[in-house]
Amino acid sequence: MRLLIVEDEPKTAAYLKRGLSENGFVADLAHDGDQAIGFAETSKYDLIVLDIMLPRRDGWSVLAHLRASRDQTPVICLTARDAVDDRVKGLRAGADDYLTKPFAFSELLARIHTVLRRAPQRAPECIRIVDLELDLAKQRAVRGGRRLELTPKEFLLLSLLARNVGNVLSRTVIAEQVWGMNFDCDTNVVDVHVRRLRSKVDDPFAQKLIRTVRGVGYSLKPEE
Amino acid sequence: MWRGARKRSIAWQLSAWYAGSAFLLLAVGTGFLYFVLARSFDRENTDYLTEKTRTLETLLRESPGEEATVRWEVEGESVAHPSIRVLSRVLAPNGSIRVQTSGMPEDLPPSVFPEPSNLNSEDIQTKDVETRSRRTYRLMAANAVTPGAAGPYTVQVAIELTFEKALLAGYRRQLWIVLVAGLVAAIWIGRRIAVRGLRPLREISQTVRQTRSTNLAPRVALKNMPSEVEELGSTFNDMLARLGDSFARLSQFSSDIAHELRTPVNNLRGEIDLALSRQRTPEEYADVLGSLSEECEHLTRLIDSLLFLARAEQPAMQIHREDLDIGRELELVREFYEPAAAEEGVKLSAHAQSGLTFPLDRTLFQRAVGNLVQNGIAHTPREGEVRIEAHSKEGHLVVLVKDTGSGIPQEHLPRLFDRFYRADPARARNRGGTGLGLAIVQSIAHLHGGEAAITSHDGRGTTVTLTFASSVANERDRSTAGGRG
Repeated sequence: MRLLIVEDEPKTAAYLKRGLSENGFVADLAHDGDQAIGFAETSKYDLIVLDIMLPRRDGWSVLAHLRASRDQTPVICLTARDAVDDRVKGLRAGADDYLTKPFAFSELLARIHTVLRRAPQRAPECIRIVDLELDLAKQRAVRGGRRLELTPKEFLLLSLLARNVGNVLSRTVIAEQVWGMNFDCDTNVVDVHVRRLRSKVDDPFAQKLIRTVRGVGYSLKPEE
Repeated sequence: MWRGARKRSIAWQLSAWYAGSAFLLLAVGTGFLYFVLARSFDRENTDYLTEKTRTLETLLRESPGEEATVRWEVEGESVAHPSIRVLSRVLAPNGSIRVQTSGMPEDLPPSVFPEPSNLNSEDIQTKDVETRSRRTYRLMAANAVTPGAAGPYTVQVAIELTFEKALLAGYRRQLWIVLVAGLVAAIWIGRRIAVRGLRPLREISQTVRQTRSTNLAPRVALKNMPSEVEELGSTFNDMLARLGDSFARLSQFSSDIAHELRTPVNNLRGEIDLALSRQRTPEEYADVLGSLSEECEHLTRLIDSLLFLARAEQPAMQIHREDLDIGRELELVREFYEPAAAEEGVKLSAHAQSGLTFPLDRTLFQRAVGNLVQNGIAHTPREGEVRIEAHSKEGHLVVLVKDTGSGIPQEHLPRLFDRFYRADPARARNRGGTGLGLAIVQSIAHLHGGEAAITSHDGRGTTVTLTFASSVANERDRSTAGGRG
């Protein structure tokens, strides 16, 4: 997977590039809008992470240029401004998602995965991780041959973690995706939900699947 | 020029009105008096003239032969009333002068007199003439039919008006002087009255001029203020008090922000310095980084909340309403918070009037109710309960979040919705709250054209009531109709 990062702030650009590389992406870096358009025209990218406040040519203009030249590469916008109008403006201009600074890297990663998955490939009906099997159609979870008694929301949480196996999901993303809580609530509440899920999924078994990544969030990852 | 005319002061207008009306009254009064005087002179003269003419006519008609009597009557007038210049003349039927007052001037020949009038009719002709010698006379004539004579004698009488005219002219001149002096006096007095009447306003404006954001202490002295202006003054004082309060809160807010930022930044620096001070194991580094990340999360939340509040205060802030099934939304919130409540040993329940839908911004509504539920759980001891209730009332949505917690002392209630206000500072900060939760709840209610209110009973718990209007315009109508501010 090849990504283009458009970001003028050197420190942010550096950590984005490193982080994305570590997560298996090949990332190019453009420092301003003109450079970004040059890159996008010469190479094919799977996704563009676009900062809105850029010198010379801002993100809106880059986005408009891309869409005008029929480039449908998914775009995730980054901005320090977070007025709701900006969000609407961004999505209307053809952005696929939108993140306001400051954001957690894990959240960017989660959104990149979501946007990339939104492309044609359909979610599998069954997910298998070690001895955990999830039947997404029937909403059934089985581990080690034993049926897990999960509430619908617990199943949703588990399948969210399973679909993003190996990736860390922030508490904000979890609250948003499972409960539709689109605001930055006290995310300790998510900890309680995960604790409950653990008591059913992990506690009875020797191998633990759900991991807490301190200060970041949760991930489903089998022990190596 | 027109600009100046448009911007004229109240004092200017008032004095203009005072002066104008005083002058008008004076002009009407003196004009009337002059008119009455002139008319009475006029009447008196005509009456005298008629009387004299009648006397001569009677004399000629009844005893035309008595030459001496006629002559006396014609001549004697100036002797009897020397102040009144009356001149008479009797013409014989052939038109020759039979007798006339001595001193009858050359320039009053018989031909200038009017045609003889019938003295018994209503319509006696008179004629005012000014002679070449600049004297004014009123003239009258009548025929005296004498039995046996060839035709009627003609009586011609003139009364001199010169002095009266001069008197009236002098009187008119004096009237003009009085009027001009009156106008000047009226303007001056009007100006004085207006300036004096407006002095309280000037006092208020002086106070306003002294008011600065750094000095909100000056107040309008209401003592001795006329009642009309007293209200303005007291309104102004109220405004100053409110502004003072807002300024105090703002500066408190700024210092609170600095303090709130200092704590996490201080934690970040401290932990980083400590971690870098010596070689550590990867696990230790991971632990420190995790802790730093938590601090950053707290900072992010704080910044988000501050931005939200700042945006919510902008009048242009738009909310995106959609029809929400309130029962379902509350159930979602309950479901989200239920495990956290259960862990604290608190029962969480949601009760919405069935079939209740209301247009609200979903994210904001969730955020408001979520914040309150979270607060409720945090302040309710084990075995307690947090209830979310919703019903509609007079077209408004009312949402109550009740807890059976320890309650909040009354003195804190009025300030609970203030930013960073904490009834129990130590406790709230430990829970990782930003101190902005209730401020955000209130601004969400305001964005929906509603209100947030809080009541609390010591030891029996706290109830927060949120009211939402279906549109901000509706709420505005209602508040103007109900006279609420």
